[in-house]
Amino acid sequence: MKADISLEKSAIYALLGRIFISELDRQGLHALKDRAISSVLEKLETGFQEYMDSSEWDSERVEELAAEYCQLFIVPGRSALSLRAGQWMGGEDGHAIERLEVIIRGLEFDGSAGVPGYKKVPDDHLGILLYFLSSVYASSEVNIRRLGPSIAGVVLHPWIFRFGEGLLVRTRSPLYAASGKLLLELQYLEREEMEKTGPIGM
Amino acid sequence: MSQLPSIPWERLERRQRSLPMKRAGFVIDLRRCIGCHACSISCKTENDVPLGGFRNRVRYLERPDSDRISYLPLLCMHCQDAPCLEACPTSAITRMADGRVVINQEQCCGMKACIAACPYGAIYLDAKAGKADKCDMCTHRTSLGLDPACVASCPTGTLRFGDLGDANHPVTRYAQEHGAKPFKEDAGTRPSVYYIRHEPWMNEAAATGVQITPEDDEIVYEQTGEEL
Amino acid sequence: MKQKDHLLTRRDFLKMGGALSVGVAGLGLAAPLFGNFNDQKLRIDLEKFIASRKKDFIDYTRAKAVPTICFGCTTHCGIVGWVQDGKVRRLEGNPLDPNSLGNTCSKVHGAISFTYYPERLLYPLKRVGKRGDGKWKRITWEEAIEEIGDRLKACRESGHPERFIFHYGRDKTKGFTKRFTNAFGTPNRLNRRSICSSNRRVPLMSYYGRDFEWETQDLENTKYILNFGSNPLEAYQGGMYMMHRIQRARVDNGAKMVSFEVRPSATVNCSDEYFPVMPGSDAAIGFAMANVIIDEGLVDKAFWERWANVSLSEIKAHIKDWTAEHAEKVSGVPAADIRRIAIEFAQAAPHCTTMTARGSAKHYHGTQGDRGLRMLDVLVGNVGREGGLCLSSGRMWGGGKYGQDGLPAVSQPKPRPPKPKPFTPGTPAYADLPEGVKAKVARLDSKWRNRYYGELATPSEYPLSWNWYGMKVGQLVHPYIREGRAKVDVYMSYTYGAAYGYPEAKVCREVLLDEKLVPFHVAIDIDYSEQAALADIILPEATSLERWDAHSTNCYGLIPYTGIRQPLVEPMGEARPIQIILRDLARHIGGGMEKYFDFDKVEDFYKEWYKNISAQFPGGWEEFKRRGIWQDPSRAKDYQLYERPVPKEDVVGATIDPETRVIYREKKGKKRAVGIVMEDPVTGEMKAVRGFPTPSRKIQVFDPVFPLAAQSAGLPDGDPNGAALPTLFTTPGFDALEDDDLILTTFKWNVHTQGRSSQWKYHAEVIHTNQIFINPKTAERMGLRNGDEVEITVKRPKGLTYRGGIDEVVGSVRNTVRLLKGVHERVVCFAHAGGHWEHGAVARAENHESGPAAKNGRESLLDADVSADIWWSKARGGTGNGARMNDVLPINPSPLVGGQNWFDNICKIRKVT
Repeated sequence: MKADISLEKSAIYALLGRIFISELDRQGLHALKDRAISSVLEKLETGFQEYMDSSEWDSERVEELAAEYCQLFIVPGRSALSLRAGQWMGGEDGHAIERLEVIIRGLEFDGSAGVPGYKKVPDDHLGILLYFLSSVYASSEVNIRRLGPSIAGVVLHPWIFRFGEGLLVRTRSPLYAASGKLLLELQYLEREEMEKTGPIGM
Repeated sequence: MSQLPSIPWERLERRQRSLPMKRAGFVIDLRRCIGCHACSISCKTENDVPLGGFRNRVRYLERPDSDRISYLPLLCMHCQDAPCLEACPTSAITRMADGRVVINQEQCCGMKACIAACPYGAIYLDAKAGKADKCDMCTHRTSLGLDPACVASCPTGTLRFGDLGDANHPVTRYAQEHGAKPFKEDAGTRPSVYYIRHEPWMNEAAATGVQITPEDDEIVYEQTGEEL
Repeated sequence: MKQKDHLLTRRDFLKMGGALSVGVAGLGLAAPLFGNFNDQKLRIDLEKFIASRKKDFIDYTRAKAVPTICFGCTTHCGIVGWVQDGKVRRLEGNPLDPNSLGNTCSKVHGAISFTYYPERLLYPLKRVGKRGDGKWKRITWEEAIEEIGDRLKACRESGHPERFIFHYGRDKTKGFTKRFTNAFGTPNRLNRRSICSSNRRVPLMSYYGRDFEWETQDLENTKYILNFGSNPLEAYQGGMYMMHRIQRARVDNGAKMVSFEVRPSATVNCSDEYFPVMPGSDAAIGFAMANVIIDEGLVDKAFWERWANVSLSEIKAHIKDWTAEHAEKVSGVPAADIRRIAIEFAQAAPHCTTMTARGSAKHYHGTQGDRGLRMLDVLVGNVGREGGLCLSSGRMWGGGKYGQDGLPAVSQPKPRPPKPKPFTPGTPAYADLPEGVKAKVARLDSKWRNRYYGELATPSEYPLSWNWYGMKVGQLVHPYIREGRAKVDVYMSYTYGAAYGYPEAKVCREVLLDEKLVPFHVAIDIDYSEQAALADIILPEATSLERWDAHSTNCYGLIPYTGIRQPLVEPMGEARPIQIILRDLARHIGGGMEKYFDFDKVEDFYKEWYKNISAQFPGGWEEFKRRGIWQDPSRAKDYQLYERPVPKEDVVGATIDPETRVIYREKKGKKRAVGIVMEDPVTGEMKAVRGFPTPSRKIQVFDPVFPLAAQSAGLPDGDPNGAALPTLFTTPGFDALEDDDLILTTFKWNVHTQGRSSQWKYHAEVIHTNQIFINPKTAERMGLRNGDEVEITVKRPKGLTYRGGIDEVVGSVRNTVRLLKGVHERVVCFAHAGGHWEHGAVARAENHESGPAAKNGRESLLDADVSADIWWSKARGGTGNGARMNDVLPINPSPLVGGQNWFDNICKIRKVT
């Protein structure tokens, strides 16, 4: 089996980035029916495939999902789970996020990716962080790619497990439940890799 | 039209000091304090102090002799005989050339011996980092000739900062003119913070410590005396 | 879900990742979002980033400082923001601001909280489900503008533009929103002036012709301050400007301050003497002092006879029964002290001044009461004098206003929209009025009838709420809509917190939730407030760190000035400034509105607005932006504006009334008073001087507008609210209190502001609850100890007010008590700020992810101790965020003026066992 799965990680981070950076439109929802994707998500969340395939993603259903997204992530109500790292991280971790924001602001955004909403979210948004990690793993520089687990360790691990767990408890949508689990699985993988190689750069 | 005034923030004048201060310190004029919390909150934003931790606090004390409240800003006293410095097992607490006492977080092991040793409760534990922290007189500001954030933010001239080791420094002269005294002088630590119009009963009233802790919650007014 | 439970294998990742990496249509995953990921420099940056654990202090040599104006309360001090790496890191005072002189309080730091806090509302939202369900979806700005614009357009074209209501809580655009409502054609730009200061502004406007944004005590130079329930050292309009001057006056210049109050406020705590008073008794004390001053021969006779429009003997005859003994009975302050202080005050004249505003005025009788208090300054002649109660020319708008001779005019760019037309018979708006309202309008004196704009903007029963300018009666807006006195098509809330903070706030909520009464509700706010939660569409506004605004207010240094609020950073997320929002709506509505919003960059609009100020700087607009403030410090201070000569060009061609000696000029067919001919006190020459901007050009201690208003509003004959001379009376019911009646009053802490600061984390940390403060003796009688829970029940007030005299309970609420010595024995008081149910986790005092526990028995990875930043949350054993108090405070507008009587609440409390 391949040793370096950076390219695959990059793609999965990008998928998760897309799922969290804004609501999914009809096109995006249809795309998630792709068997290579949905069979894996089915492994994580039984009923995912049925949920995606059961009926047409008409505008009413799309809107219902958008309302779920809003209730979970946007409106600061009691069941809200902020997508912003700053909500979860204080102290040193908070400084790390601020320093990463500075790095991110210095990078080029690629509008041709066609991701709706990416320009409008704050720099500490989970979607941005996930796309950032996706870019790390897509780098042609092996010395940048190998920083991936450590970066995830700094910007995600202090809070993502709490976020993920909260998401699993609160969402009524198999899509966000599956996505939450995929996100957690990916982070377990990152943690294992960090334990093997040791944190880079420290 | 008269001459336009210069714009103060456009030229960060490094106050030219040929030598560092002999003994940096604060003078707090309680006659002017209005308890507004500008000092404590500006410290929090300037130094990113976590919720639950306080580098300085403003105590509201019910006066024993009237119906009114007195205000008492409290911060690290930067003692000349600092018990925290002595108590620290890893020598994470040191004294700088100008006398201020600072904690080097990288050397802190989180034992909290300093917290126990301080008679002023000036040190808090940053729970997430597991390290002790306290006022450092805003070194990142004073190194540029700026006052510490609390002093710069005080709207009534209650907080003043200067070289208490220089008899001619205006802040030192101000302290002397008005008979400034340290808080809880009998703790014997020789603080570098002096109070004008500090009254002895305040020592007891604020005896519960200067930090807000969850146990201390919402006790905005410190009461002098019997349980009510 | 513990790590060892993981469900995916490496193969799974390969399979999924492989499929995704060739790109999937519809998910936009073809290429990574970020470029430049191959640089060595980036690698170094990333390694450093991973390694570094250091706190990132602001670097003042690298950060950029930009002056702007604070928005932490209503005072609006000049500040400077330090921006580093695109983020505002610190705010401090602008020393070039001649008002605040570089000082700020704690609230300035709230701006960093409300701009950066993670739960900030950043996207337009549209409701899904029923209004008030709390379910939303995001929409684009285009969709929002289209939907709102279509509704507004329909309303405008229906012939009833008045059915568009723009209701603001905090609008410091200094006229920008009015541009929109005028261009639209609606008079219903509603506010919350009556919630705040109406009762205390009317006495100023009655006496002096204008409220001058309000009076400007010369505190730097005063020697005696008589404080009736004001609290400038803690929470007050112009607070900061007064705060640092009062402290210098006291500590450095030996000034004495005496306070009449109900609790140990910061101002009380810094006073030389404090007298706890029965709420509403300030007026009695004031009239008593007036008697003393007259009886002791301490009146400045020359000033009174020259400027007051009633003789000393006449006023003495009118007030003679309101003695110090009477005041002692009513207030509890010993008569001997009242006498002594009155004499001390008068002897310090002219370097003495009163401070009134809150404690004295927010009562049923508060307007007449404050008229009595205002008399004290006139009696001792400190008006306009050094150390006294000055009337500064205040805000620099428009040019040509009283006292503003020679100042550069600061006017909005042209073209400017015309004002809406009054609801006169024959207009569709008039025809739409219910018959009952038409009858009330018919009863109005013609000076009001001819400029009537409907019950919301110009309530017919409260003519003094709009006689001078539109203060309106905000707390009656929702009841009036419910009664059908006004119809609504579109209701737009702007930074408005009525649903939380109004008296009987549940009435506001009920009306807003009723889609028949309010078919469409749009909220523009920086935050998900209680008000926004009841909207159909929410528009996120840029915060004060992210936008432009004009600024000017009365200067306590007594020389007018102006400042500019400018953005320090780009608006976050999709937030937009109000100027862009209204411009885009105007363009969508069209029909001529668009020509008043002809700008692309907001900065261009303000550059044009301020062009006469820019001209004062060699470096023009850029230099004004660099400084943030303009003032000509060589201009004479605004002392004795009334003795300033009328410029020759105003006298030429003017007519002078032979009896009153008032000088009139004709302008656009209207006769305007510009001054008065008075004898020079030294030379005896007759000179044309400005006098005061009143009809008589004198101080109107006697004002016929009161009986005229009482008649127009249908008050019973002889009702003291309509007295032409300042008159003392009591809040109905206060003279027949039961033994266990207490008065429930409110106050504001220095770390909070106007119901919108509970989400500022550092401020909420200091104060998060709103416990009831009670005197220990009162508590002992009731068997109460610190922390005991009580139930507070408030009954409907008596008198000519909303549901006045109906025997009903307004509401009951539970809260805890805190014993405090300095509180008056008959008073229980609580702070406004607390009891929120929106605005996010900090305002609700909850930790962010505290919520339903993990299901399926899985062990939780949630680490409560590490994550629970809100240490004061109830779940963590703290006191939580307080009780919802405003719901039980009755809607209670004062007759004729409409100011909310916040301090008239008679209540009973009982221990909850």
